[in-house]
Amino acid sequence: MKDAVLSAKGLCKSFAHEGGQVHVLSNVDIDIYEGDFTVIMGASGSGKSTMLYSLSGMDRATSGEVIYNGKDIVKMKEKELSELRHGDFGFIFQQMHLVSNLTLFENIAVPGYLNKSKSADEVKARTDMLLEKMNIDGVKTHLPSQVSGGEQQRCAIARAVINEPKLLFADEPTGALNKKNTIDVLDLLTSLNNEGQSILMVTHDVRAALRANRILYIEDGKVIGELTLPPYDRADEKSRETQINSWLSSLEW
Amino acid sequence: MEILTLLKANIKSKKGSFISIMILTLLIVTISAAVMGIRNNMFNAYDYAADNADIGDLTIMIQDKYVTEEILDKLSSTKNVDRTEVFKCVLSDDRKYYSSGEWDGNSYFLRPFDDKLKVYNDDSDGFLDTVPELSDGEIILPYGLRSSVNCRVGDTVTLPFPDKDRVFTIKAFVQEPTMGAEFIGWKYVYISDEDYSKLSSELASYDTDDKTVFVDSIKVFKSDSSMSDIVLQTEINKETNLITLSFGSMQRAQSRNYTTLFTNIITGVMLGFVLVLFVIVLIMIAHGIKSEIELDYQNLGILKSQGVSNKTLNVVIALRYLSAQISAAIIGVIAAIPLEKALSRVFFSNTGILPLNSGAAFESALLILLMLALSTLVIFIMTRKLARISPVKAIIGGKQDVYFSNRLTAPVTKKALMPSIAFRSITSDIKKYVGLILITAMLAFFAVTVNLMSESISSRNSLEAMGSIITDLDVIVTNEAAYDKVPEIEEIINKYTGISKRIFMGGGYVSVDGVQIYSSFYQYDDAISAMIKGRLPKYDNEMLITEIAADELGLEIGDKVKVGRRDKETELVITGFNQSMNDAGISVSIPLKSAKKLGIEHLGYLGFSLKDASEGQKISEELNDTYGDIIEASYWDINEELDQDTTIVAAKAMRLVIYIFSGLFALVSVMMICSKAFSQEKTDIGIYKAIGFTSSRLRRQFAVRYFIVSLIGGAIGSLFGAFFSESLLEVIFRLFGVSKLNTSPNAFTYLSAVAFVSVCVLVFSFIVSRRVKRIDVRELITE
Ligand SMILES: Nc1ncnc2c1ncn2[C@@H]1O[C@H](COP(=O)(O)OP(=O)(O)O)[C@@H](O)[C@H]1O
Ligand SMILES: [Mg+2]
Repeated sequence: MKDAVLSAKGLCKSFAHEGGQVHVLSNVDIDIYEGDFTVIMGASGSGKSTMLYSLSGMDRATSGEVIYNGKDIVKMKEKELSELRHGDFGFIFQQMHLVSNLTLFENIAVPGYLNKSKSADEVKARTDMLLEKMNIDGVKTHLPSQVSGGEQQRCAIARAVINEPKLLFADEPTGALNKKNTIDVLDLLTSLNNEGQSILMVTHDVRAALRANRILYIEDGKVIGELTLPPYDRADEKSRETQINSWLSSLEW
Repeated sequence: MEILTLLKANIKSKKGSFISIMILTLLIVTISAAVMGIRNNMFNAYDYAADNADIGDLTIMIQDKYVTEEILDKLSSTKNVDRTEVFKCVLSDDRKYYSSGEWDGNSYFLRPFDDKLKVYNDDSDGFLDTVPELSDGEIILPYGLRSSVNCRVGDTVTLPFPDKDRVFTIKAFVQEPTMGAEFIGWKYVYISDEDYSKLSSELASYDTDDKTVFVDSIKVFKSDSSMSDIVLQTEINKETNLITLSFGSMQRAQSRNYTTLFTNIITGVMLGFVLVLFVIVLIMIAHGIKSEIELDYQNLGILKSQGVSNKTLNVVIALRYLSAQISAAIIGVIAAIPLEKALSRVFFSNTGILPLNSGAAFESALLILLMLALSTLVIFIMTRKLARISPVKAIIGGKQDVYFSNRLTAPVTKKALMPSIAFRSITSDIKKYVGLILITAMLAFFAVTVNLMSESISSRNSLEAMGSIITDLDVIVTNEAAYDKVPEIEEIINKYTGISKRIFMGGGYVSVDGVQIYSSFYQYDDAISAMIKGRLPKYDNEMLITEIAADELGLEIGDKVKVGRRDKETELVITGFNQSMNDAGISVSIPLKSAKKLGIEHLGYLGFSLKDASEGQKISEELNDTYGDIIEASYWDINEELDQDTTIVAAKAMRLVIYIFSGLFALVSVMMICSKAFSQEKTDIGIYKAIGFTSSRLRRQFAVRYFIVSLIGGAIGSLFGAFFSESLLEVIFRLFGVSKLNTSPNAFTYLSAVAFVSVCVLVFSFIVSRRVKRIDVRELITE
């Protein structure tokens, strides 16, 4: 049995909406394991993003607990949360969300600069390494508006891992990309995972889910199914896809 | 109808900027309406009072021996002279001591009460219906003295005369338009008929060629009201020589000018400042519309796709700003009424003329209309952009594309992470900050200007550079025997400390090429503190003139002029321009050598600057002990005097007011500009939070950014200040009689202005940025 990096119990999240309350997550119990490439699937509006945001501390759960490293992130102060964000957690958004007036290089380096334990030179060296790895070092002095969506998303991935996070969160990272860019981004995530990076990704795209070794399915804010797979291998992509599809249809996907 | 619906929704969603514009307009309208009201109240009151008191168009104060039947006939038959009136006065000697502890060096002309004048009631807010009967030993004073010597009804004043001092009790204060104002150096004072006759007969034998006791006041009324008072004066002098023979004369226009000078200048500066504030409002409207179009791009596109025309959208935006301004203007005009009343009271103590309540309804209405017209113009220029919004692009594209420039960038570094990110935000979208740069530049410019203004009148050096006479020890000659004792007097001073300057002076009116002008007579060059051109007189046929007087009379350095005084006349050469505030800058200075030809033998005032001013008190005591019968010595603590001077106090108060309003404007404009910026930057703030920035770091970054912008604006404003403030001030100071300012601005002059503006912006933007806390990373989720 692997160790759980993150473990949520009784997680609830509701929003005030038109005078009443919308309960998006109700009593979710979930463990995320070290080294896994975990994927959360579900229909649009099922609460995937809400769950990811609550688990990653980007948003505060209404009740319940999310234990990371022995601490409940639901109860953390803003300062601790921000330390987590530029420390042990990395986050990738569907809309990339790069800072529009910083160059790609700077977008990656800035969260690195927040890290007190690393010198500026170390951050710069790692940024250059990541730029090369993401294959965007040719455009590192460009602004986000001057590069393609795929390049932006690869930059966002580099930014998310600049501080060597324990856990990488991604909310539909390929949702805004075309087919070619989607595969590039997925390959990068897979290779990060192969190097030991724990990943928790939300998607409703089966091709993205293929990369996971564990898939959770949620509906109306509850986990209603789980599928465990061997680590991804391009060779048996076809059979993996069939397996996932038949699992999904059993859940009325 | 649709316009109304849209307008309502529009105002609701733009409450912040609606209220900001309202507050600023309110301030502007309130100040300007009040200030214009004060001016009207004062000028109208002056004219009304002067008409009622029948002060005439020219008042000539002249030794009574010159006033013969013959000369009066000549005067009456002068062209354009309608009629004349002559009053007898008795001139009091030098210093008058009040029971309040103050003394006054003005010239007092005692006379029986003038029935045409109005006497103030106890509260000084109206006039008594019946003039109180003056008993023996009672005196009525012009209101201007009330504040200058801080006296009240019931106080006593000791007036010196050649035979002895006489003590009078203040019975009441009177509104006297000819010379009753605080800043005029002559005063009519009124005593009972019996006292006057008694005084006249007791002093009859003391009126000699050297000592004037009896003075006639001649009022001249012109027949042609379109003729200027100064031309009348010159013509009279040509015909009768009365002006040259006189002590001095005062045109009604001069009285009006001197009476209103102080209020005129203060309110003038305030109006100028309000003008700057209005330009700021225009900038804010322009900035508001620009960012509104950027922010509301999508909504505006949707409205257009539903068939709402550009024109309708234009009108909706225009109506929103204009309705904010109109409602503010209405409140402002009402709020101005009490403000105007209160401030009128303050200036009243200076003018001595009870302000009317005429207000400035017409001027205010005109100003408001002008404001609205200018705002409309700006609104229509700024809303032209609306036409460029294509509905399709707006709906599909969502936000309008924003292009950043990556030129002009400094790298983002770990060491200076916050400032370098702040700096990047500015350089990448500099256009967004133009409004605030302009606003802070203007505020800083104004701050530099008022700094310079109050600095130039609050130190000994700067006052001397304007031509003020500043001494530590004054010796007034009360008996001619003192003229032979000057070496002994100096010996006493030298026992204590050295003499650094001898300022021996006298003064009186002379005629220069037929025009009457005040002249200072001086013995040592120390008396001329501010030469601005040419050289000091060396020979006994030379003199100085002020630049303003030279301009007025069309004279140049090197010109020969005919100078007359009483029955003497001589020709003098102008060797230079000096600066002096006597008679609002229209004066000449004649060295004793030259003045001897005009019958001036001695100078009655001996002023000394001491090497060690702190010895002054002891020196004056010893001088009074030794020579008390022939001189009167007094010591001045210049710093204390400066603290109490009306002009300086007023300038400091004005600086404070201007700083407060600048701060207020900085607050509102920062609020408005920052909130707009906030809405635009919500996403960026969310991103920064997502990558681990704390709210407080982001707040600091935000505030630092606006701080940098305000530093840039402040620096630009100060730079402008360095080049133009002095010239601007010279325009104002010319009214006081200073044509050339010799300001010595130091780093503090500029830095304090920049620091003030920037710190205001820093603090206010930090306050506004508390909204950072409320921005959630969740807002980044997009479906
Ligand atoms: N801030 C919010 N206020 C109210 N309802 C919200 C808010 N955010 C999300 N929701 C609702 O919660 C549900 C789940 O949203 P989300 O987690 O974004 O779904 P998914 O990512 O699975 O598409 C949706 O019905 C959405 O309308
Ligand atoms: Mg989602």
